[in-house]
Amino acid sequence: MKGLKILHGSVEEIRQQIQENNDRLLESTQRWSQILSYDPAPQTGMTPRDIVWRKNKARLYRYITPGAIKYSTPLLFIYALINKPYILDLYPGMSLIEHLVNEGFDVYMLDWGEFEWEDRNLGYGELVSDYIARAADRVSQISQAGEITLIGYCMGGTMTTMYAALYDTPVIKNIMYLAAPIDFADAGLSSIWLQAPGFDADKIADTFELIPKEFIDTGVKMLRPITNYLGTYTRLWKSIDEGTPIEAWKALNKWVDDNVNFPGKAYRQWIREMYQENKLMKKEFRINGRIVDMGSIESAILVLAGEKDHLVLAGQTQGILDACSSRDKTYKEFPVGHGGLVFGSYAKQNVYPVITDWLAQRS
Amino acid sequence: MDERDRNTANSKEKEQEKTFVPDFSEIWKEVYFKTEAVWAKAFEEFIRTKSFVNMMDTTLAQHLSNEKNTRQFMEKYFESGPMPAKKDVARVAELVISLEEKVDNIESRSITALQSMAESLLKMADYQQDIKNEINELKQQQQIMQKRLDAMSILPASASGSKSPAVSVQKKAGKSKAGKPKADGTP
Repeated sequence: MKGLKILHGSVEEIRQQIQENNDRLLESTQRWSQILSYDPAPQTGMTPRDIVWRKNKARLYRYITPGAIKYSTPLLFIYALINKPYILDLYPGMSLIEHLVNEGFDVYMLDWGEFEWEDRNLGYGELVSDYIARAADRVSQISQAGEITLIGYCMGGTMTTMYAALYDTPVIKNIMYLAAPIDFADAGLSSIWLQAPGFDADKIADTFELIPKEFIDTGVKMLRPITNYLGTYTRLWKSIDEGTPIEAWKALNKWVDDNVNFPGKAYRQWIREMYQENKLMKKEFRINGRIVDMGSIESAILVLAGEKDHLVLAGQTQGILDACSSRDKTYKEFPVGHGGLVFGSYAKQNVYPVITDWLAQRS
Repeated sequence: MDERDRNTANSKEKEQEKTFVPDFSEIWKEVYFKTEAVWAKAFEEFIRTKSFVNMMDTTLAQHLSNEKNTRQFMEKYFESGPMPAKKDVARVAELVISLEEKVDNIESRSITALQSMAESLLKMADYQQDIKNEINELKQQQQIMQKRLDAMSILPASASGSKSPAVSVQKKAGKSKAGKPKADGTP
């Protein structure tokens, strides 16, 4: 057994050491219980920003660059419809957005907000044409740039692809995909569940209309149930007992539990047309009657994937590479999970520099 | 001597009393976390099986059925009740969103129109500048031509003596129109 600790000394000394260990375990447990019950949630999304456009619950943020903007091509982050986007700006010192802003980029983010009952009929057609397209126009107007860079995280990357395939102004110079699923032929455990005959997306969408956030959260967490429902809390206890910092755990746990409802129409499309029928890869997916053809995308492409990502398998992210017409394509894989590309010490040391270098050369 | 012997005996006793015991709290921690990892992997294998998927689908179908019944009951209850239902509130919100959409469209079109107007004005300003430049060029050319004409009118006047340059130019112009061309081809 690694690190087997031996207590040695006289009987009295050993008794004292055992007593101290027990007291420490009890204190750790007490502190653990206190953190889970009483500690306030940490502040997140702290990088200074302005709201430059709003529509319904969506907000387009422009982050304030502390020095001069070095790169003229603005970046627009498109986030997913699951959970909230502040994973990209978790806290000072652990924020991809803060890093890019400090490097001199002009950074924007489209925050979808929290969908409510009146948004139950929002599908990808409305989200792409009424939200993303308008946000991109605003970015171009405000930054006075004819070209922009889109950065899509997870489902945001899929929606970025839909937008980029259908709209040519403003010019999309670069697209960066962060753990973005494009090819749903083999999505691992997700495919096993969602392609099962008993899983009826239409029935779910018809019953709920607005898919409750708890339903989405349960579905995601059940992909690794022991890790998510038990391991999260035992890891916290271990950190407390060993005296390692727990701020990162608190911030990440806040984000994991901060879910949003999912519009029923979009959910139906996501499950049936993506996971079950893989229409995007087959050039059968339509937005407002128009076929989304990835072959019309000519932007420079950077695809980043996590080897250990169980939500979006690395193979799913590569679909865009062959389907698009871009001559400048880069694919990189990192030994991290889904969130590890944007959060954590590994991301900060290894992924952020790759992102910065790639964007700097093309902005 | 007796004291020294006693001290030596004490220290020997103390050395014999030292024992070695594993730290059970650390052992327990390590055993637990290794076991948890094994459970996690085993459970992940289990949730991939057909039996689990079928069980999950059955549970989901039952849940959806219950949910639908509850929602239908609540809708009927609120229809006849004095309080607005979720759909009523959502309908008002939809109207507000539509209004916001129209305002957004107007704003977007205004910005586009203002931008194109600004571009047109800039083009007009550039065009005016171009016209000014052309007029200046024409003026310069006209001045050059005037100088040449003046120079040409001086020559015949100096050749004929008394006649004014202007009269001689006009006469010469008249001659050149009515008369035959010269032998060398010049008018």
